[in-house]
Amino acid sequence: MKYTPILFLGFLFFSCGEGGKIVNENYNSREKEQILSLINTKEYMLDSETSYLTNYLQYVDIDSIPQLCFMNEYNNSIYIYEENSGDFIEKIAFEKEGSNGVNNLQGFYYVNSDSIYVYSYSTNMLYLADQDARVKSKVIMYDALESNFDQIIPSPYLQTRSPLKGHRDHLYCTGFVAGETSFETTENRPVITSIDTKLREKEYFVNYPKQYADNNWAGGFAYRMPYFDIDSSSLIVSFSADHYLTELNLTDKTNKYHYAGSSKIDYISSYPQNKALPINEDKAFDWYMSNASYEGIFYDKFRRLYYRIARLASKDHISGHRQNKKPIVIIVLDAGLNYLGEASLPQNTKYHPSNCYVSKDGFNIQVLNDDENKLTFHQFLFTE
Amino acid sequence: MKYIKKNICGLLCLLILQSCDKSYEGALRKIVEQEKIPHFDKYNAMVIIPGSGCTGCITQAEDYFLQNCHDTSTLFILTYNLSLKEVSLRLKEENINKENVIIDKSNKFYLSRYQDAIYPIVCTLDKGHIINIRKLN
Repeated sequence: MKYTPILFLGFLFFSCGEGGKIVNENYNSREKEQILSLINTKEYMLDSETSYLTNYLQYVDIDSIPQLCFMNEYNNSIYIYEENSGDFIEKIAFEKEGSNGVNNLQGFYYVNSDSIYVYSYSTNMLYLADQDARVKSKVIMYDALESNFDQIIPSPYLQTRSPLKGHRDHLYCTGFVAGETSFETTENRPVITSIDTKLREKEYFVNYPKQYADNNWAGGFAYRMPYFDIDSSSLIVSFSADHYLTELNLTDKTNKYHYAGSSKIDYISSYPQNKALPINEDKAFDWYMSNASYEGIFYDKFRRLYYRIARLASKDHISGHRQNKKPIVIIVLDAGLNYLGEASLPQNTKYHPSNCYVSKDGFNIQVLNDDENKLTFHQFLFTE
Repeated sequence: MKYIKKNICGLLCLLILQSCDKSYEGALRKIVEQEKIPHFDKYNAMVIIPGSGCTGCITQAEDYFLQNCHDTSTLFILTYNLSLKEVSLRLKEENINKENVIIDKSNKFYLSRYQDAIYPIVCTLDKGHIINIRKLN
């Protein structure tokens, strides 16, 4: 009994060392509002087999015609629509088993009718196929046995905002292995997997920033999933708990860091628990909802801009509930990743910022409305 | 002293009664009563599956639904779904249109005031009465 106060003190010290605040140096200092104008609504009619809750879409020029391709996980298909008219063009249906089987599709990279890379998360396999869904070659992208404490290899996870993308003769994607470990350093937990287009050799780049090794981020998608896009020469990574963007130069593979925080975010708090302890899923979601974060980064090659999504802490979150109503802010950066301003999206519209794409006409963000037979986007244009 | 004890007992009873009234179980019984589900007395069990919440628990409950939705003695209530089209693709249209399946479009069975709402709920029924309520977590 006499040891109780010592135990109590010990517990206090233990608890104090666990939380980390990632402070935003430019909080409340450089906000420029109303920099994005809503200019149009784009709609794509869906068939009876397609849900508007697709997880993966890609804007691509096919034979110089801008097209929007997206995935239907229920029939393992890629749907292709003409971007300007919104007209359906075709559907590429992939088999799950057999010599042309690709298991369950998670994402893809459409290069041309002869080269479509498709990825299955359940088998960690990347396949090279053609327009007729015939598989030409395949490679395993993640093998847990290759991981050790010298290098914790990422498991690729594809979404619209963490796509599979090509640059010259290499493909890039991001991912992670769920969980927290005190063995993590700033050098042993890369998030980018690169593979040559012949599907032969893999390489890994860009480690989590220091605050990830120092603090607990609850191990899951909310803060561990890295987002990226590629411009003409670099790959830009947006980490959820970092006010900075990480630039990977794709020629010399060096890293640079660029401040790209929202002036509406004062700080981001890590999960207040020792990394060794198990995570309570409900508590972790409440923590995520009451905490700011960053999401996707999208490069606009037509205007040479970047759009970074930020999510503010939710003020009306009900503990235990899982709907993500965190307010959405779009930060706009120039070609050198310098801050140009930011805009808050109206909270009375159900935006789905997981699905965004850049087209010749503007930056398109998905909207969920009552008509489930349409894939709808609000199109925004940057106005200085 | 006797007077204080008596008052404390009274206060405790009041608190217990009040908390019963405010419990998830109490609220669920109330909504079932209000909604007057057709042929409710013919079911032996009621399974409420929310569309979002405890992801793993919901996946398990949906697997159970796919295997057992033909069992006409079990009533299934699918609630709190962001997209009805997505539900019909995921759980198959022919299944969700069965007589013993209710699509709760107005989310009346999703009792958002309670944390238990994020879990699938299984109720044992007897002659139109809820005998037991259990969450799947």
